[in-house]
Amino acid sequence: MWMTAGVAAQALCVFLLRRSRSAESHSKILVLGGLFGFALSLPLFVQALGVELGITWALVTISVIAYGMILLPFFTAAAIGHSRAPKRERMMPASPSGSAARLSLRLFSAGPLYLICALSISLLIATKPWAQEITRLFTGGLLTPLFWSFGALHATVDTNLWRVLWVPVTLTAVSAAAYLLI
Amino acid sequence: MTSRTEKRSSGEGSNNRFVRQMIDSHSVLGLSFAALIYIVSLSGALTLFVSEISLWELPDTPAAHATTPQAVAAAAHNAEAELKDGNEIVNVVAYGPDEFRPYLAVRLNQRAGQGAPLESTDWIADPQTGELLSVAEAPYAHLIEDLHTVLLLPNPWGRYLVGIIGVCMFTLILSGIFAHPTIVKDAFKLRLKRNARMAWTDVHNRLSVWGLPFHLVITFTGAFLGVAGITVVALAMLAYEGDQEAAIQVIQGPQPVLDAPLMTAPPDYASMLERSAAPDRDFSLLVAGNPKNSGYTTSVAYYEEGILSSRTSDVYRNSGEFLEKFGGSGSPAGARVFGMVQPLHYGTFGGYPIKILYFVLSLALTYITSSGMMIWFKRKQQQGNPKPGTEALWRGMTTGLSAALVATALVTVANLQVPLLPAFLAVWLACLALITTSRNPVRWVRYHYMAIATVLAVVAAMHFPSALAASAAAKPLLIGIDLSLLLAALAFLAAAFRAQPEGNAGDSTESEINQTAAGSRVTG
Repeated sequence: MWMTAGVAAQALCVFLLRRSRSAESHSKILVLGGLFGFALSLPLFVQALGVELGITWALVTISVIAYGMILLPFFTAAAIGHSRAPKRERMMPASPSGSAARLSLRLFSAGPLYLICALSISLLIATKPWAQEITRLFTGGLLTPLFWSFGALHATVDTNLWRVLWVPVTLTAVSAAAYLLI
Repeated sequence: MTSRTEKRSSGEGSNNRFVRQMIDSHSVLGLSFAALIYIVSLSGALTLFVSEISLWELPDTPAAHATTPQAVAAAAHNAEAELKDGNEIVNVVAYGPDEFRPYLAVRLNQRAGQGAPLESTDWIADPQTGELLSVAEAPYAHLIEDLHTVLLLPNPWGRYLVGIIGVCMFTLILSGIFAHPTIVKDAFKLRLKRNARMAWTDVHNRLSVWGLPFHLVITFTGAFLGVAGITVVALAMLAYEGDQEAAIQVIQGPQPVLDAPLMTAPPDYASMLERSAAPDRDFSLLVAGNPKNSGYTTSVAYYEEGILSSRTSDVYRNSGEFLEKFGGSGSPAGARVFGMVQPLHYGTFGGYPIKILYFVLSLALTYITSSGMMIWFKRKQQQGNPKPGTEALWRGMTTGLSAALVATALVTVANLQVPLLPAFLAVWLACLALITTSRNPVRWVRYHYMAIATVLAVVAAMHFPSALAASAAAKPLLIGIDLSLLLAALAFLAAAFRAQPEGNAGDSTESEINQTAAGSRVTG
């Protein structure tokens, strides 16, 4: 029963938020109502399943409810878009990633360089005695993909190629030095 | 006034530059890894049901919702007795029946010596007696699982590559969020009647934004599972003198006692299971590390209600002494978080409702990849630089993958004596070649969809008698799978008829690709 109420609150949330986009007046009230619907769904799920499971369930169900309510036209449409492009969209600016050589260097930084960097920071966290061994090892292990992802993002976004290369190398060197000194 | 205007325009400029850089990062990574992301996502959606697919392949399995400690113990001992002469036992794992896998199974992991490759054998066991009934060979389920976890490549390289793809997907999500400053304002935009690039962008963004919590969790846990191997190697080199097993054992609970005497009698698994049994505990699995040595440990894992890290273990010395409870509620934070990774990645924490929601969201992730490619193709078209060859290749790869999965399902259900992996790759490549080299790729995609729908219906019809004859515990699952296949057949049929007929002025999907493909061929 609690879960059904949670699902209903989430459906109301998506409905109100959607209405707020097209409403000519009271849009703020609709937004607040929508956010309240989602906030209300959390304790309802928690009541049914406990904190860990309840919140996880709530985050899964809201996605599928929203898909169902927003994407229905996608399934019923005869075609997706037309081929008449406005003039201003016919010429688009060149991508900022630059030449093939620059792109290769970026991917080299995003791949091997930031992997080594992420591993060096994670291993520092995993091996230095700041918590129980098992907690340190799991924390270090879980942080590796996180650090690597943020590093890869930096490598593919930063326009300064020099910085894209020296930041991971410096971070690796600092981690290695910290490992030896601490 | 002027300075305020300048400030605003400079702010907008930097914001635009930031967004452009994020979109560029999104494009670079997305285009580089799109094919692999698509394969991992689609196979991931199917891997959610790999236990059920195993049962679908082995419909005669004696299914049961429960077993006894004596039967589990007997199954483990029977598996130990299958050790090859001269080999050493690494461990024996007995899997109890559960909601997704309603049968008793047991695995023996052995090797010829220290450092030799692991040899694993699985058996189905009688849930009442523990007698080994048959070797559990489910090659189709295995193929799907291998496609998702190692991309059919040798270990550990395949797993590492999947880990890299996980990292890449997580990075794509980050750049996708940063590239979308109007993420809240646009949350409901779906302009399907605008130009095709914009329409596909809206589809891509709506699927991405509303599935965001799932996408973050699934890609992060996937990246962790894939990259964990690299982390363990590095950790072992740094802190365990290169011994990877030692590094892994630290996170698996109490350590084995080295140089302990050999067991004079087999470990008493039944007593351990009885001691760990409780009304609020459902037995999950038993892992007996080297049962011939008294210094190794046996873990009895059971499901704990109400928490995500649902598998909790009682750890015993093989000699029978209880050592400790490991994982689950009350365990160290790191162990709790680690215990959540598998349930969160494979959606095993909420029964079939969560599995089905995960399936929907995984298919959405697959479609996000596909729609991302569509945006790129449409953009290139609008810029007067169409890529018909690449688009045909993409359509061939994606359609071919579905066709190959369906064709190998037919091989499995028809019990044809054809090696599954070569058959899978052959069908995939054949479809890829057919669509890519055809003069009208979209029409051929449509034919493929019709063929896939037909084969799916045939597979379901061929399997249905086995499902009806299956034991009571397996019957609902097997009927459910066959009905799902019929549903999938209908979905493919609908997709086939949705593709627009040639010559439709409003259609940007087929006529343009065909025209540009033909044009490029003439000029080429």
